[in-house]
Amino acid sequence: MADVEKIYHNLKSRAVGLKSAAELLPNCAPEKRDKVIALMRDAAKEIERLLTELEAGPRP
Amino acid sequence: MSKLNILVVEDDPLSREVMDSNLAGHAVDFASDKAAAERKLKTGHYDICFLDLLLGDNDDYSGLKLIPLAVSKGVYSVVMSSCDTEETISRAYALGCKEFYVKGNEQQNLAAIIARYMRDDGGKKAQQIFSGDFITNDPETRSRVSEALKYAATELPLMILGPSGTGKTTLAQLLHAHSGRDGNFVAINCAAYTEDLLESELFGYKRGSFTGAHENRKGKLAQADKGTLFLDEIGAMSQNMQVKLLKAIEEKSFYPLGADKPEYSDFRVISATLEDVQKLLAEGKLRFDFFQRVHGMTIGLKPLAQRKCDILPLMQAFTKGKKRLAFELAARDHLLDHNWPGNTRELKRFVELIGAGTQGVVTLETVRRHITPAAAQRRGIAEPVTQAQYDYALEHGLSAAVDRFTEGLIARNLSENGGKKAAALAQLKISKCLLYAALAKARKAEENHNG
Repeated sequence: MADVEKIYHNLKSRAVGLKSAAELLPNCAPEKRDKVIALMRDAAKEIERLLTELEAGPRP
Repeated sequence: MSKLNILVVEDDPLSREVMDSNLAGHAVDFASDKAAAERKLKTGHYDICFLDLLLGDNDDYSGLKLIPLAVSKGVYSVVMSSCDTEETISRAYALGCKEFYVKGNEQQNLAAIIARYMRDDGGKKAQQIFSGDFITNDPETRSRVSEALKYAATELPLMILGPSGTGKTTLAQLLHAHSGRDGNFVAINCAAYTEDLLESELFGYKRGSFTGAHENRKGKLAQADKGTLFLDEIGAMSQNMQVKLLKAIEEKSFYPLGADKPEYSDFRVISATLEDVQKLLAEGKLRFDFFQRVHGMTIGLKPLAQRKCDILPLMQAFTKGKKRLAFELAARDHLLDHNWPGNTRELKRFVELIGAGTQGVVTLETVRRHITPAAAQRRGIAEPVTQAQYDYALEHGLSAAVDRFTEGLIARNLSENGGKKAAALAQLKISKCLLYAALAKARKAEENHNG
């Protein structure tokens, strides 16, 4: 898989993960909710990083 | 729905949380990289494995590479990815995966996959185990057995607890069958032997090591090489034997009686007892160090009275290939109402009795005739006695009738256990004094009878 394809793949993967986690949140127990939110923040940061990488890379 | 053993191979911690929540109610295990996944697939027992396609940033389709291993272990493999190109999907199916799962809408998608699994191969596999190898429809028992099967292929010792006749030996055999070990399943009932005999049974002996040892004999430990040694009734083992066996389990080597060189055996231990382990430990009957060595994972089996949904399937299994039994509705209800204190052993004996002596539909009266005593016990009243017992008590007095009843029980137990006194002592929970007194009386009565 080419680098740019990997970035797209990881972007999709993180975004889908965020969506699924957001659907999960309303029914989470309080302690689990905090853990999931922290992981969602990490995923959001990773999306941010991947987008920066994409911006810096060669344009199609 | 039965509790399934599921392995999720996923590198992203958020996705693992999502999977964990959506698979609540099942036994879910996680692996975050290829090596951990390989280890778990090789040693664990899983029904379904969800494989993420890429494990890590620079990964080269580890999810695909794990499919053959999962398939070879009979695991229902599901690849999950957000990268669903035709080529990847084709490769996954060609490698033997059952489903390709596109990430998103986990709640609906996972439920649908599990439902399909239950209908498909996996369901058949679980069904095969619980309708053949270990018959049970009880969700809790299924869950416990499934959990135990996860440890079948590990080196961990397993301990099975449960009243007599609940299927401890059957479960041990099932665990051995799923252990991947090439050797034999070797069972020994520790309560059936005196200390000396148990030692020679377990460790074997060399020719001439004691009077009567005319040839070398392999013990159970040697017989279980590369297999499973099933120690039933470990609570009946003396402290001295526990020390010797503990050493053999730890070192995988032992000295047969009369041997001057050790022998080696790669056996895995599964033990069982019907007694309260904590009580055995507190009373000092079970050494703590020995207990530590044999109780890696503990599985408790419930008595039949607490899983009545198993009564009819078990009866069907006991009559398989024989005359099929048909019961009146009231007779069937009575069977289900009975507490079966002897559990499956009692049920099997009952089926054999009914099968041998009944023509046509089995009536309530017939059922009552064979299981009345325990039904009376359930109602909390004294067990009814036979007319003959009552007449005997009237003629000879209560004490003589009690003695006669006691002797009858001991004689029956000895006959069922091939004359093994140690088994009678353990199963009837009687003192040696009572056993020998009863045997002496029986001998005297026989001598008098023979003139």
